[in-house]
Amino acid sequence: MPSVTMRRRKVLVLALASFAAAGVTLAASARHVWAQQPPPPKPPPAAALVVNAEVMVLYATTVPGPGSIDPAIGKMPQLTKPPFSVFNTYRLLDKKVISLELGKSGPYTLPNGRILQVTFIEPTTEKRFHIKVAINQPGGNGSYLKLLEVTAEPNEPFFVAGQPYKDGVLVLGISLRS
Amino acid sequence: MSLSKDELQRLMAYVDGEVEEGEMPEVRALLANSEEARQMVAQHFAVGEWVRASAEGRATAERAHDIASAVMARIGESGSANVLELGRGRGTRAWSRERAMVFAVVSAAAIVVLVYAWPRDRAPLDPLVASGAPTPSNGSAVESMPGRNTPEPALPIQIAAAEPDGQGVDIQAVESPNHPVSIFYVPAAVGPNAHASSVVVWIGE
Repeated sequence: MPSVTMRRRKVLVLALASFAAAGVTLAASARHVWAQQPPPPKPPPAAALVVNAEVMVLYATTVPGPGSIDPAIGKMPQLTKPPFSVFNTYRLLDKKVISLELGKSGPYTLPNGRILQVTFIEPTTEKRFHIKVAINQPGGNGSYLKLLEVTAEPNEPFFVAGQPYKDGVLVLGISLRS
Repeated sequence: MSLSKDELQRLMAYVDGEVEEGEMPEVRALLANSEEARQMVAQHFAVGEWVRASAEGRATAERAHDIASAVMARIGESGSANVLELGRGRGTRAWSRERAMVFAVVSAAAIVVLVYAWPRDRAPLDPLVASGAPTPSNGSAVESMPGRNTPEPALPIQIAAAEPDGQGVDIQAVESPNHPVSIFYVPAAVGPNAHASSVVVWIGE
């Protein structure tokens, strides 16, 4: 009759064999499942670089009294400082977002009929945007602003002002949005 | 019939294995003729076996605190007890080796399973997501993107991303024939770009 020790050893050997078999089986099945997975998708084609230029068209006038700033303009403390402080009233005439692909222009017709052209030249290494602005006469009859080339960081507005409009002037606020 | 003092001593020596060869026939004769002697020897052998079993940790919990009841139980169970000398420590060492082998094999099996079942590298992030581009769900500037309403799928559009800190606006060139140009730098004064000045290009008529 086998001793207790021999019986115990047999049980242990059986347990070891079971564990090893389970491990090998699990590993083989995992490998099989992994081999059946579909190949990774191909990378998408190169994306076009786009920047959005927000153009605000303001109408600046001087009226009797303290004047006012259109609330639709939002927070723009520059309007209370020179040279803008020459006028005491500002109204928002239009707000437009022009989507610009790299190297391309986006036209916008101003209230006075002139054509605003904004061109996205390139992004800079400092994560700013190099753009060109031009204001042409309607019908292509010459230009009011032949060239304005700037490098601007996102959400930092710059202004092109001085075009006569009705009793005041037009102020164009241009911001580049990321 | 009660045992004499000498007979008791001989029996104790017999139980302890200390009977001399010359006295063994007398001990055997006493055991053969005296029931009392046989009972006493059996009791002593049972006690010895119980002590050894307790030392090896085989005493049960209900008998461990009651030596008398354990001894009586042993006596009731045993017939003629055979004293077996165990090689103390030999079985314990073998059991420890077996445990180590079991642990080693189980660990190896677990490692194999983990290696094969570990998830592989994740698929690369979508470049639109990685670039922080706005998705159609947030609606920012999507409506003005070119090609959005065309039936053919348009090229994916990556919105140019930029950092908030910068150097404001720099003018590289201004050209306006027949119109005077003035450039002003107006402090912004508030907001995250308070350090910057707003550039104003004033074009006269």
